[in-house]
Amino acid sequence: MIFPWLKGVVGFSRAPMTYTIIFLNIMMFLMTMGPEKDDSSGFFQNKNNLLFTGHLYEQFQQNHPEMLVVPVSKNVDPTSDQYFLWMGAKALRDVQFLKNSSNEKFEGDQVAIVAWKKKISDLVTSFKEKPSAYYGLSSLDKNKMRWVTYQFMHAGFMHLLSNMVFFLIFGTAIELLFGALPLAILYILSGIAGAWGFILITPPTLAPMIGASGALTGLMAFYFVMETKKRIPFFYFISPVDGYFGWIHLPTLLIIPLCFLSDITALISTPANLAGAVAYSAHLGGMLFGFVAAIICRWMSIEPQLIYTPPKDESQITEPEAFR
Amino acid sequence: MVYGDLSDQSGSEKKQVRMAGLQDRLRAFFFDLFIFTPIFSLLLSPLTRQLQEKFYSSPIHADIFFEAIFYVMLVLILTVIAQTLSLYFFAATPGKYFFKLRVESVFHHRLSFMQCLVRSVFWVFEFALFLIPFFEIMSHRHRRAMHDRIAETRVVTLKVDGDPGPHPLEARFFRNMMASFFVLFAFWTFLQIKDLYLSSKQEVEASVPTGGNTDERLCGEVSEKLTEGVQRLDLALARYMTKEIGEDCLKKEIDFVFWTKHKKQYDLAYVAQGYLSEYDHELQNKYWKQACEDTATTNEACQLVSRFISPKQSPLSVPANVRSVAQSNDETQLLPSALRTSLLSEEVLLIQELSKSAKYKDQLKALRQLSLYPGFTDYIQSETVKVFWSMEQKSEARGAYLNSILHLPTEQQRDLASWMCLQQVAVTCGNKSYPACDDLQGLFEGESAVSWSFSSGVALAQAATCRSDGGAVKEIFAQKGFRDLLDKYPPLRSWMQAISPQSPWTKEKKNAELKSLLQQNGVDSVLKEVVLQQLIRQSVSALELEQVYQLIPRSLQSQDQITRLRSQVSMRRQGLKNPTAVAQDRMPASLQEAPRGEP
Repeated sequence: MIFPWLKGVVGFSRAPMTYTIIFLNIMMFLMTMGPEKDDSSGFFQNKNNLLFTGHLYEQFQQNHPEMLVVPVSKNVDPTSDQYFLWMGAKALRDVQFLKNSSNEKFEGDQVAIVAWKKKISDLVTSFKEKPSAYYGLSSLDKNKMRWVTYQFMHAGFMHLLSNMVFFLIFGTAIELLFGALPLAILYILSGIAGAWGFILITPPTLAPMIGASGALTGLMAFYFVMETKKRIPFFYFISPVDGYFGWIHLPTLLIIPLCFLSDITALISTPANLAGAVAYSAHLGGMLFGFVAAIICRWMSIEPQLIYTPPKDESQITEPEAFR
Repeated sequence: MVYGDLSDQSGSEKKQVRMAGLQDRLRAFFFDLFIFTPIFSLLLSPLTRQLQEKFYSSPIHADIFFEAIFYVMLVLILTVIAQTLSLYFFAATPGKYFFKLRVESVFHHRLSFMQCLVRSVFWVFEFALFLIPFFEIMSHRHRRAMHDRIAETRVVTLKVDGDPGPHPLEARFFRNMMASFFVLFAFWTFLQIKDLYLSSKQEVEASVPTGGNTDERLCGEVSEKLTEGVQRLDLALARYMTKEIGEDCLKKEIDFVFWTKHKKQYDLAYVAQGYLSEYDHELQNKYWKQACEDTATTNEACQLVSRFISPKQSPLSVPANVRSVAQSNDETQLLPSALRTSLLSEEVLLIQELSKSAKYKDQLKALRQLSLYPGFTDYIQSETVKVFWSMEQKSEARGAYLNSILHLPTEQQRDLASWMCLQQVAVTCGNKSYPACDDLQGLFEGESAVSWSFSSGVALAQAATCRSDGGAVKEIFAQKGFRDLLDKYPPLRSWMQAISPQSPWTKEKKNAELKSLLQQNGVDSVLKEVVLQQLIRQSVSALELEQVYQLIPRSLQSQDQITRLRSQVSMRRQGLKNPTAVAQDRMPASLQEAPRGEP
């Protein structure tokens, strides 16, 4: 494990905006967390029901060739159960199908189809009732406020924690170099760019996008371009044995393989139908914005400078050896 | 001419080389891993995507194995390329560079391209040998593993202090360990090759066509060669009704009809779906209603539904003159056309109705008729045993039982043995010997033990009680399968309390509990029959026996069970008149073989 440590953890007085944004994220998380409502998603995780959905989706595609979003893979035997499981998984990500299937006329077991339509309708309704549907960004509803609110909402504690740890590292570094307001603007605009990437690249889906990771990758890309020539401290951990963990100063360039390439790789290598819980497209959008913003800054000769001057009584505070 | 001391010179050169330490080399390796993994992943991402698509669409796809090997080969090639180039241009990989390590030639410091390539190739090759050659770094005095020695290179550090090399004892320890690992590795490789050979041989044998269904959407247990005029789904439903095939098999056939849009068979598919939903009456009704929705009630499937819902409409209600032909003594004759049905599943239903109505001769004819179709052998064998027993032809029943029990599949063995055990116990409660119960007990023992069913639990518990064997009762309670049954069916627990000699309940309470079981809805008819048998045996006066006799038709619907119990009441009645027999509380052996005739 290795990650950039940059300026490490500094006090609130030196990075007030970073802590404010973290506080907002935590507050938003506390406000929106709560027991998950029972919805129909469990019904569709059952293999037989997923197969059933796959069969109906095939009929839907045959009836509406103009709505075909993702072509069927040529590697699959079109009569096998695997194929229909695949189609079922695809169906549950196809907004057109979910929206229109209630009124569609399907061939087959009409009793089961009526029950299935009720479940699909419940699923769509339950999606709309979740807090993430109010604050998250989805293909169904592109309300302007959601382009901002989604950046402050998280799906779970671990999601929040991982994003905030990285934000603490990069937010602090940027705030110390450029100030509080530029950090806030950068955070919001990177998040908006991430949303743009999500809407543009990810096939329409009911599941709303939430999380600060789009904004975070924007900040990382910005920092990388602005401080390209520097060597920054990285923390590495190979094993708990002495000598196999600690800090090492490496070029900023290493942020690329460690932080960006994995996102791009995941975006390319994940089949569209099997898109997981991570919106890599949003990461890509944020990253692009960060690069462009930094290049513009450099073109305008805005150079990073340590804008914070420590008060006299704090000047005696020593940093770890690795940071000097 | 006197030459200088050459050995001294080499010694002085040796002192200048600062060998890289083990810790730095390991840290450098992990850093290379951190840096190169994302880069290689990105380069191979299209292939990863393709592999994932194939894996999720069909995990047993033959191509996947070869593509995965191709993927690994590409990773190795990329590793060789990346390492060769970085060594050639920087004399270090990125990890080594950051930890101040350099790779140099043993002779002339600057590495040639060939040296870089050879070193990288053998470095990768050492991974294929499960990293064992890397142990040489710990044993070689200059920390040079196989790849370094072949390429004539060494890893040095730019730090002030070089590594002094391993202690001789340490070096010896690692050399011996490496040799041991190589022996183990060779043995493991041999075993793997042997397994691979055996599994490929089995695959070749398994791939020989067996003449079964080629379409995976259909159930392989339903024969492809159908008798003329028999629909495939009808055959599947009929076989499901006789427990010859499982739920999954019938479901597969139903799905095939629906998803391949065989609209003519939709009605029958709805009937079958309804039959499968027997534990959800609301859903069952919906399916059966749907079966009659599109077409008039004249269609076969809809008629079958009406038979399921109301047995009154069965062909048993055909005029008496026709039925008398069916009841003729000519047992070789098949059922008359008036009793025959167009659907095979309806025919099975008829057999079940005939059994419940205690029309055993007709049932035998119907079974004979069913034997014309393939796939009902086990069912016919089991039913024949039951029919013979019910017709009081007990020696034939025993013969048929012994003949068929070993050839049946285990679950059907269990069901037949349970049924037979219950009958034997009902006839002679108080005996110590119940062969069918012993057979049943045997099925639950050993490695290939079958799962417990309700009737098997009742049968074994009843047998243990009738034997008055406290040890046997305890033994049954010790079986996990039986305890699960008690948890699943609360009435079974109440019944066990009421019949167990160890129960703290009084006799009156036990009787009251048994009678309340008869009045409860949802209590299985097998249990009700056993309860009534118990009450018959416990009756000590004609009045008590009369009360039980009145309870029989109120508690049970199957004519077959009612007939059997009434017969037991009449025998008990005779026994009450004959106190010797009453004292023994069992049917006299002479009566066991007495013909009972048609009710």
